[in-house]
Amino acid sequence: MSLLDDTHVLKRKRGEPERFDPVKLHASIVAACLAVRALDGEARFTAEHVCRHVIDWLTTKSEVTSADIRRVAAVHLKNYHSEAGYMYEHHPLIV
Amino acid sequence: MKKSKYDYDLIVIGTGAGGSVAADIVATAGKRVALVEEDTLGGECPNWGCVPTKALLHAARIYDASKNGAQFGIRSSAVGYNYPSVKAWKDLAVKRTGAATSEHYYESRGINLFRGTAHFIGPHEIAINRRHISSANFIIATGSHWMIPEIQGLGTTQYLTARTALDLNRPPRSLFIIGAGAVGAEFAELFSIFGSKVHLADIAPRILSREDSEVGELIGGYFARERGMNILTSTRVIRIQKEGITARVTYLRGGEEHSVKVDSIMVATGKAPTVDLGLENAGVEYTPKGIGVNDHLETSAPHILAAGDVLGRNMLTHMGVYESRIAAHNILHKQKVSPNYKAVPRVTFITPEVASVGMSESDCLKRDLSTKTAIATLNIIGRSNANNFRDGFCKVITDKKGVLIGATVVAPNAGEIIHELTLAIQHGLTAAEVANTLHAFPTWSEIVRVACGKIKA
Repeated sequence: MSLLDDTHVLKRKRGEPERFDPVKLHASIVAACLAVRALDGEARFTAEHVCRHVIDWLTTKSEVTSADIRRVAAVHLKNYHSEAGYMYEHHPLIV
Repeated sequence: MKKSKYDYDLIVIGTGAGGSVAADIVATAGKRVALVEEDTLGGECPNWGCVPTKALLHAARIYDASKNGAQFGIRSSAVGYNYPSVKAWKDLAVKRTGAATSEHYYESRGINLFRGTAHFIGPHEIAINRRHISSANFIIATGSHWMIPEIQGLGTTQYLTARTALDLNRPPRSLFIIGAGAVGAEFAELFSIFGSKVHLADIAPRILSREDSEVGELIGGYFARERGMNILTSTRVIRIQKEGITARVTYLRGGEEHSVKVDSIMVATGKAPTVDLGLENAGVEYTPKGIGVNDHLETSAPHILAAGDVLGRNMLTHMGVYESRIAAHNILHKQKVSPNYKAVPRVTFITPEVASVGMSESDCLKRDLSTKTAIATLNIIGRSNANNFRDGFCKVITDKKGVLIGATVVAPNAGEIIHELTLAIQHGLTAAEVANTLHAFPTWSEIVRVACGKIKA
């Protein structure tokens, strides 16, 4: 069990806590990149870097909301791929 | 008795100047109060800010005065220092503040103390170490943190900050300080007195760039002449390379690339408000420059107030205390009050001390104010002769009616002298009224009378 699994819980909108899942975050970032027609390799490379930033940020937190993760991920994603970052940030509103 | 909807009436996040005062006031009024702290109790000022740096500077000045006693007939060839003992004195000064061990004090006041990082998970709820606590009101006083500039190689080199520089076991032989603001200048003086070769660099065209231009020019000249510092204004550090136990700093100045090899590098490029605490979840609007508040220190979520450095205004301890009092008042009373920033004194504790209050000349220019300005140099007063110290001045700025609106004093004990001008500005006195007030001879304060007397009615 990693330190992250042990100490960081993602609190969903419905109020139930669950463990932070980096795989889920990675998949969502890849999806955002692919949605703006990024190449598959680029999408995975970007997602790996963004996940690393989010995990670094999470090491200072005990509990965060899913909205926090989305916001922090979007901030970093914008640095790598601005269109994907915009998509990621506004996805709940657009859909 | 009706059970309250929330665990507390007030949760204060941060135990520094901006937080602890409000917690104390609100708890005294009989409210249920909790304090949250993730680091050392008391925050920056007593633990790794004002108090330890001033304690070290005090020791440094005694050493400096002893070393240079020959001009007054004092034999001082055997003067030396033992840096671990100097550090022990600093630690004693910090310990005597009692800030870091104030748990019992808070307990005695009925304030619950939580240790950990607070994160908002809703408008009235925070999580600390996965424990959720709620409150009707919050005061955010999380303070600020040092900004680390993006310089190639800085991340892989060990560098000092204003916090880590306090714990050195000996002064570095050579030191490159990036950032020549108040903190950079204070550390530059400290280490240069103890024998370090100091390079003081800033991207601005003068050191202490937040002060009027005369200040930077005078202090830059004094540092170079008296302390042997290498003053590098209009300088951009572009690269840092590790060379064994030393580092090579490459910088751009005047369109040319230069480099210098130093023992240590210190980063003092300014501070940013600490706003990473899930403020979005509470509906609090903020920018990286600070939390936005109205005149009553209320954020965009009116039950959440903010005070101190986190506002990104004047990052000064006395402002934190002042704003904390105002925030506490506004939580307790329906008749709300607003802070008055007309006369905020600020002091840089170097030799000579730099103190200013109210508006600077550039503030007046930005506002297109019609002003009168007068400067009196320090060498014309009696105390300057008696102490053989001539570098300094007093500058006063008034509106067209002669009412004081700003002042700068560069002189020994300027941090004490400035309060006369602070009082005058706060209460709308004219320069003539200050000039007609008796000032004892021979004191440094006479410079204020002389400067105010130069303003024509």
